Amino acid sequence: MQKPIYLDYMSTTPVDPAVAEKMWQYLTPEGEFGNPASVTHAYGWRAKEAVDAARAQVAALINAAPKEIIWTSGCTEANNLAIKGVAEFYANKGKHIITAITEHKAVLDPCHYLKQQGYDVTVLPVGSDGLLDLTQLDAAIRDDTLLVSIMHVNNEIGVIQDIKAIGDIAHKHNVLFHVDAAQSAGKVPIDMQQMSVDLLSLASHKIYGPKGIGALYVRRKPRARLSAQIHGGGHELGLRSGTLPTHQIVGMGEAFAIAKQQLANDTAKIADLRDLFWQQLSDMEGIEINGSIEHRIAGILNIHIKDTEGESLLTALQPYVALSSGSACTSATIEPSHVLTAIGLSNEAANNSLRISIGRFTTEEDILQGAKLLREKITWLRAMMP
Amino acid sequence: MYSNSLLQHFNGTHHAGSLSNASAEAHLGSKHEGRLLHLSIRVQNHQIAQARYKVYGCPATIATAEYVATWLEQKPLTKAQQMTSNEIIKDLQLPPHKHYCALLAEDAIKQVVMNYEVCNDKLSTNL
Repeated sequence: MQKPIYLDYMSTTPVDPAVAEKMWQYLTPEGEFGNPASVTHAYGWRAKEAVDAARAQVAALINAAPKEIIWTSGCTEANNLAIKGVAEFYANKGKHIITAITEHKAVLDPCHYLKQQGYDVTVLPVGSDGLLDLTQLDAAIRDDTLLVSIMHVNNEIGVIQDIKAIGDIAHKHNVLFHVDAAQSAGKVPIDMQQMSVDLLSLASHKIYGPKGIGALYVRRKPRARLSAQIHGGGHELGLRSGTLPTHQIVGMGEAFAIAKQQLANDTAKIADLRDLFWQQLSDMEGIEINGSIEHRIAGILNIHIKDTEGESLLTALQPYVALSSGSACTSATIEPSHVLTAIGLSNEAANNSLRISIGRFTTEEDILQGAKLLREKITWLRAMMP
Repeated sequence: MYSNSLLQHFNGTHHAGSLSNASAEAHLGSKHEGRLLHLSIRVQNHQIAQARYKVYGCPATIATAEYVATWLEQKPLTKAQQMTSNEIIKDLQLPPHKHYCALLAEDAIKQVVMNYEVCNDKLSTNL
């Protein structure tokens, strides 16, 4: 059976074959399968060398020092370590955290957890373009604010926040700044020497690396302090215990090295494909792009399709095209995307929205065929509309 | 994930449309609720000769509309109202959070038959 065309790269990406090839060398008896924490033999030394090389590759993509990279199981864990780690370490200094309404659940849920522990959390709104109002952020910072946590690129609409400006505001008030960069690393330039960021969460599987591995950048000068959230051996400078998965780490390192090399080419090619997809649809009535058109990454198109129920459209497309919707239709009450409603869409408009995301392995044929099928199914559903 | 039976009805919407010579219609739901169902029937000799629907909603809503329209055709009016949501739930293997779709379909049948009867009674009275 032919696989559906994959247009859901914001959800996850396939592992780049060059990355998979390298990972394989760290699994089998013939390879470097040792425990990087084994200091008494060559198996351990060579595994540690591979982990250190990958740490340097990850650091290089964001212009950081290798020592500032802490391995985690993924971006969700990195977000948890950053937010709960700061809150716990600085609990005597204050109990106020600021975030935004369009954050991923991997940020909102740790903040919600802290609220239950007695912390005060300010959740800032965004404009219809998905961007934060920096004056509002400045005004929200208080004497007892510990942390500002804002994502770099939104996972649903692809909008890019002005991280440098947000960091400058946080630092003006001596407040730490955490960035969820799951959707931006490898897609837009990130420079830790230029950006006022103290903590930055990174994911591997969004940029052609394996799932199950991520990292947290922790600034050393001036040092951002954290309380560990996982204990048991003191790995990763005591911040994240647990045997390091060498093959996953090597995979993430290689994926980041490729991303650094290909960022400009990937971005140009993907932007062209996105524009081509939009050209195929834009003449249809009642289709609009959600969020800022100017401040967004190349590989995403989030569209509202009037009079076309999102889940039905996705189900009709399922055998042919893999996409995401703007809703979670898991109950009698359809739950619209919190991001789309935050930028001003009605529940109905959010439920009738689709996210098309394009990546390194998308072809022009995928785009033309995907857009053709989408047009067909929209027309079919609209014909049934009462 | 939906059952094969539900997906077959969703993908094969043979009864979608409207009837220019409908004997009765029922309009249920609202766009605000995320579902709309307009059911039309043409009655001949106390039997439903044709059933058609217009629908907006999730795949389960569309599939139940097709299921009900298929089932109604060639049924005597007296039997039409015997269809219950339980049967729809069972045949389409609707997950619990989609049971409301079967209830909407059951209500549509009841209402279209009632509308037909009210209309017919009026005609008889006027005669």
